[in-house]
Amino acid sequence: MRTYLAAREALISSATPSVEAARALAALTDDAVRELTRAASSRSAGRVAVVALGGWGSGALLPSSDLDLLILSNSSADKLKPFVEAILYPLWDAGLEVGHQVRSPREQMRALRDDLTTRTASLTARVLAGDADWAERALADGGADAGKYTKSLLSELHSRQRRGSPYLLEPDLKDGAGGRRDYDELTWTAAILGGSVCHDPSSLVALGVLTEEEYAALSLHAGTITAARFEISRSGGGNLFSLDAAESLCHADNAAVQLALAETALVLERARDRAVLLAGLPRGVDTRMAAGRISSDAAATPLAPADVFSLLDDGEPSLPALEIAAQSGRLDALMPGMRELMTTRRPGLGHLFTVGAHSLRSAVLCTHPPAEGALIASLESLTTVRVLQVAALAHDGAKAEPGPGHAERGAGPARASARRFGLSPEEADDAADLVRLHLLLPESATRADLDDEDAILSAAGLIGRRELIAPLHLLTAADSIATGPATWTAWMSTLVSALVARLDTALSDEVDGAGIASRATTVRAQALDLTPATLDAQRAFIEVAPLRYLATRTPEEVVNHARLVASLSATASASDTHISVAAGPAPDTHAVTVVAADKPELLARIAGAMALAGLDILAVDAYGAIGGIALDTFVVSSATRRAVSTDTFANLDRLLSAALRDRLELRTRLSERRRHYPASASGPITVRASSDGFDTAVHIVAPDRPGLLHDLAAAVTACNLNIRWAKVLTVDGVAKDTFHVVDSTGDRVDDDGVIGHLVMRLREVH
Amino acid sequence: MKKIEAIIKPHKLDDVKEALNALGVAGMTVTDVRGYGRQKGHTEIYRGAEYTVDFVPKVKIEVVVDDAIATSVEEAILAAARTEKIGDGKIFTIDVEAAVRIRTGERGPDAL
Repeated sequence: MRTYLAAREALISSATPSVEAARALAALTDDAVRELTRAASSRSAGRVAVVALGGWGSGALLPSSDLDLLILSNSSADKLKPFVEAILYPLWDAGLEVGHQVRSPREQMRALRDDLTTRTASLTARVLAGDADWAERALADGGADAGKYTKSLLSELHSRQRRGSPYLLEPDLKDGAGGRRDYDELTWTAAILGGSVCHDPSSLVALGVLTEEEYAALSLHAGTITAARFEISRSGGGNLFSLDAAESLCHADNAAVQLALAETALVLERARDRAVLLAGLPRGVDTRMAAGRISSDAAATPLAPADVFSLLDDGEPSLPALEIAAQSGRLDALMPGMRELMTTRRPGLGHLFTVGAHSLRSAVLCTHPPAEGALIASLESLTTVRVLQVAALAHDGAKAEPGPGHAERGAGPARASARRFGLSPEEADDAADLVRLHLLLPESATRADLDDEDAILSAAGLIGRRELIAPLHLLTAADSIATGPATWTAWMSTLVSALVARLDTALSDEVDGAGIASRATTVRAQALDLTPATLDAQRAFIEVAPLRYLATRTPEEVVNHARLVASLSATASASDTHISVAAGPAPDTHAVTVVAADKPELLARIAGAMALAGLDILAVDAYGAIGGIALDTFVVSSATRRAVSTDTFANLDRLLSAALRDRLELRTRLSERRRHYPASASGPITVRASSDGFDTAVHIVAPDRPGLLHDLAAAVTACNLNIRWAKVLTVDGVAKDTFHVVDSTGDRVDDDGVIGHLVMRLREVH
Repeated sequence: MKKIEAIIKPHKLDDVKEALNALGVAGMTVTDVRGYGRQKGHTEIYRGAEYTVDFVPKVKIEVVVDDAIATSVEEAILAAARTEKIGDGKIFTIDVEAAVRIRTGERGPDAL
């Protein structure tokens, strides 16, 4: 045994992992057991033979393989004991794992009939030593016996549990689908159909169960898998082709291993179908395959779009059929490169499957989402699922080439695939957009502040159309779930759902978030072009200015505002203001821009000061504070018969300065003014509140009067709310004001009681 | 040694990580968590239906640091994670009795 162990150690440590190495190890072990048998022969009585079972019987051993031995004898156990011990003790003492049975031929036959594992192990048995002719006859009897039970044995083999999928990135190379046991099953099938012991499935070619090409490919792939298993076994690993193993193994070609698993699993599916026919068994449980709809035959015609959609509509149960079709190349006409993607490995971020298998899973899951309210709402809002299904199939197609930007790169091929599936040009554009955007929701949900309107509007601008929100939501969930169980968590689902709800609001016709984002981006770029690079403060204002503000301004106005804000920022105290006056949009009107350090009731104070200065406020755009500086623009005209002059604005500046310093009794002064200048119009005041994803809007229609805007803005503040932005328009003596209000922390007001109180206070203003 | 646990808004994770890196904090444990405090969840309206989010998604950061920099770490997290809105989160500081680096067996601050 010492010689054997030394030679074994040298072989294991020095051999290039391969079938040849596994065969050499088996041959070395054969010789060692023969030597032990020869040495023990004097202790035997009657007929006896030593037989190698299982993989060793087929002539291959891995460094960590058990030695499965059968000692056949017609002697009693007592008489045979010294012989058996003389063989087993040295093997055990050498630290080898030995599985052994000691049986008579009759006992062996009984065991074969009782236990499938014993049966399959003996179907590849090989006599190592002893009474060879006698033992060969016993093994042949076992093989012939298998031939008598073809139907039941094939049925048992075909119901064998195969772990996982051949498309797992961490597959089980022995018991997993496509692994060694799939090859072994074909060898056992050959033995059962031939009624004799077999050491490989080559005889299936003559039976028509395998083609010559399939057998050649199968042998090649078996060699690849054996080589990988040899190397993993040598380094102390098990049967799992882990990502760490894939990284560290020197000899294993990861892509070749993945292809070997996929092709072995595929060939097994084909062979099972043919073996079943040959044995006269009813076809398999998958009626779709039986109907020829999803033949595993490589020569079968490409799948039609309707076939693919039908399978996708069936959901997860269709996955095996889809995988077989894709691996057979039957989807390539619709999705070029799909066959290659089935074995393309792009490990990372929790991915469990190859790119192609992940894409198929996404495509079946996208229309069968988890029972989460928002996902169901998205599903129900789809007008067609076909665009989504094609996008899901194609979303990772560009991963055929490594490198970043696969979402962007995949959009064009997705559009072309969609057309091949028979979708209209518009639908194909949608599919391309979904692929281009398929990473947007998870990235934005985790990295953007969902309470920041600009973040939502920016994302809305990238999406562009409300119709894409629901399919994008479903694609995101399916993509995550298909990645692996750790990816789509309640945590992620909640964040994405919140983002989806807010994006849906932002892209509604009422908000037009995409339009806002588009216009704002253009204005910002043009304003920056107009602003010298040396003016840091002005450029900083333009960079952070809210999209809603930018979208309603010209670049020149933005530059002017930036100048005002920068000059105030440089000198400001809490009560400083800067006022800029220009000609208004209509005769006898003036555009007044006021910048001031933000403080409570700012809009009310400015509006009150303007009223006291004798100005009618015709329009207001107020945007809240940008970096602590509020910027409001007004269109004003004279409230009296006296024309507006520079003195008017100088007076406004004084009044405003006093108001900001709390040195002006605005309410009292405005009340006095109203006595002198009564309202020019009369009528009821109407107040209506509405809420969107960002804030609560209060719409007020009221007859205008001096100080109305001050009173309304003050009423909002009195309710402990802030005006986030406001739009005011006064036409023919009727003020139409919209205030977007938030609570003291800047959040949307959800409490119906608070909103009701605000509406009541605003109604009381009049 | 102190263990500092911070519950923050998810989008603030990168800012906090950078701030702690700048202080020389070499490692941290990050967990996706859900919960509620004064924020008490919120509602979302999507396609006409209202969805209540009882447990708001947050990120929990755990770092163990030497006593000497614990206050600096707290302040760095505070500055980086603050948006001044409800839901900004919490910071908890806990005394740590012992720390052992499993690989080397080092103990105490040397193990951090």
